[in-house]
Amino acid sequence: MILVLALNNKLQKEFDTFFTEALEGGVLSERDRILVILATALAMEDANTLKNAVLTAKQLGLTNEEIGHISAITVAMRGQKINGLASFNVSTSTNKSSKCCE
Amino acid sequence: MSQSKSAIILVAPRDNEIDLVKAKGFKTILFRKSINLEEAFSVDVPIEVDLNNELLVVEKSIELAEQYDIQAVFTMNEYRIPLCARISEAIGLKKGLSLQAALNCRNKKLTRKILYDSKVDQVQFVLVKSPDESLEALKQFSFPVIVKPSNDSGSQLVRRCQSQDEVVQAIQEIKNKNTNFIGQPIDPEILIEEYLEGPEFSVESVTINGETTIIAITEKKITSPPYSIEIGHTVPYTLSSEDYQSVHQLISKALLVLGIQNAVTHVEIKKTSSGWHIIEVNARPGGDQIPKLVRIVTGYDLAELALHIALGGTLRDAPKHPVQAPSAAIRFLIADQPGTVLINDTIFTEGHCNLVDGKLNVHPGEIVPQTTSNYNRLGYIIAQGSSDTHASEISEEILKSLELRII
Repeated sequence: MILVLALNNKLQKEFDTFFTEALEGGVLSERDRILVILATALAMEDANTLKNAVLTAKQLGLTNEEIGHISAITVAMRGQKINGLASFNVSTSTNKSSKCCE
Repeated sequence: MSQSKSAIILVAPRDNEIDLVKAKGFKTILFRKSINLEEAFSVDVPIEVDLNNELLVVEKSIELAEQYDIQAVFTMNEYRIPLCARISEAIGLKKGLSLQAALNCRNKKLTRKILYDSKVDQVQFVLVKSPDESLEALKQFSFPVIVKPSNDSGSQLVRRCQSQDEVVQAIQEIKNKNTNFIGQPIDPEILIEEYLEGPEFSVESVTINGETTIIAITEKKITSPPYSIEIGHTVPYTLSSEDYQSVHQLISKALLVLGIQNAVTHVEIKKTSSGWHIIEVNARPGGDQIPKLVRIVTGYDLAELALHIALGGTLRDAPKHPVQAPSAAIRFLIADQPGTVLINDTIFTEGHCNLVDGKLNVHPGEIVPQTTSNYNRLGYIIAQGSSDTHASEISEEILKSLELRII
């Protein structure tokens, strides 16, 4: 398999460096990084990344309950977004003669 | 290290090892080549690792031993018994199986050599590396002979050969394979053994501090040549007291010379006109659901017992469950030729009064290859007996009611 970005060797190398630094380096602790990766994998519905993230998370001592909580946050955020997709204003007034005061 | 971090390493578990360890309250560390999400959530520390890279696994285990108070390394997976022993030795556990004992049992050529040299069981055998070598070696044998790889399992590539041509073919087949079932290089030395004519049994026993106690004797049903496929097991088989003494002496001596001090073992034996002989020695509970049969009949769960011993337990304080029936039997479904499966599978959904468990690995109408080893059987049924009727009789009746045919 050839990744499209690999067609440009320079950019691919820069991306690899950035990817490694983002996922394995940076200012976050290992535990914080895996929490973010877990949430992102769930949000992206990426089963393969999710499995690898779960393995790493558990190796770092996260419990099933904690992973379940991360899943719940992701579901809640997605749910809120879905909920907002069809938002519209609904008049709560039932007073048909409300215009009488205009 | 706190008590809450007491853990057990599980290496590619085969059956219910994870549940057994969790039931004892230990943290579970799982090593497997590939772990699915369901299994990842079922353990505390899931680690994907190439188990054939034993040095890497040992290194990882040493790292884990710094974080966890590891009490045992456990599996019932025949192929991974030596790796468990290697890890145990590397992290300084003293209660389980030694690496040398594990290797002596896992590698069939070592088993044969040690049993022969110690005069415990002098079954005639020779090791060859090529079909050409076998031609000279066969001069010392009369047919039939058994040809088998030294380091595979589950009757894979084991052939009973009636002629020189069949031996050459069997050896070539093993050599063509290159790796065993789990991808380890096939041992270049291939075993040719005298064929032992007679009924076959297995002895399920426990050895603690070098003293061996028989838990049960299992009667086996094997297919006719050329393939040696196990198609049934029945527990218990009651030996005469003279035979029982002979068997107990034979396996006690065998386990001693093989170096087994603490383990549950599954030793396959045959009774021939020259007496009792050993087919192979496994330093773990038997496969093929034999532990389930033994538990029904004796109350001992062999896997639970193996874990108990790995943790330094004795037979006196071993866990024991209520006895459920006087006999239990398993019968396997096989394809006697390649073709389409015809079967009355209602029993698998509706049950049967004496059916304890059953599994069908194929669907009616599915096209299947011929069954050639224990690894491609079509399913099984387990029956328990009553005071009136033996489980072997009931299991054969159930088997007949399935009307299995391959066309």
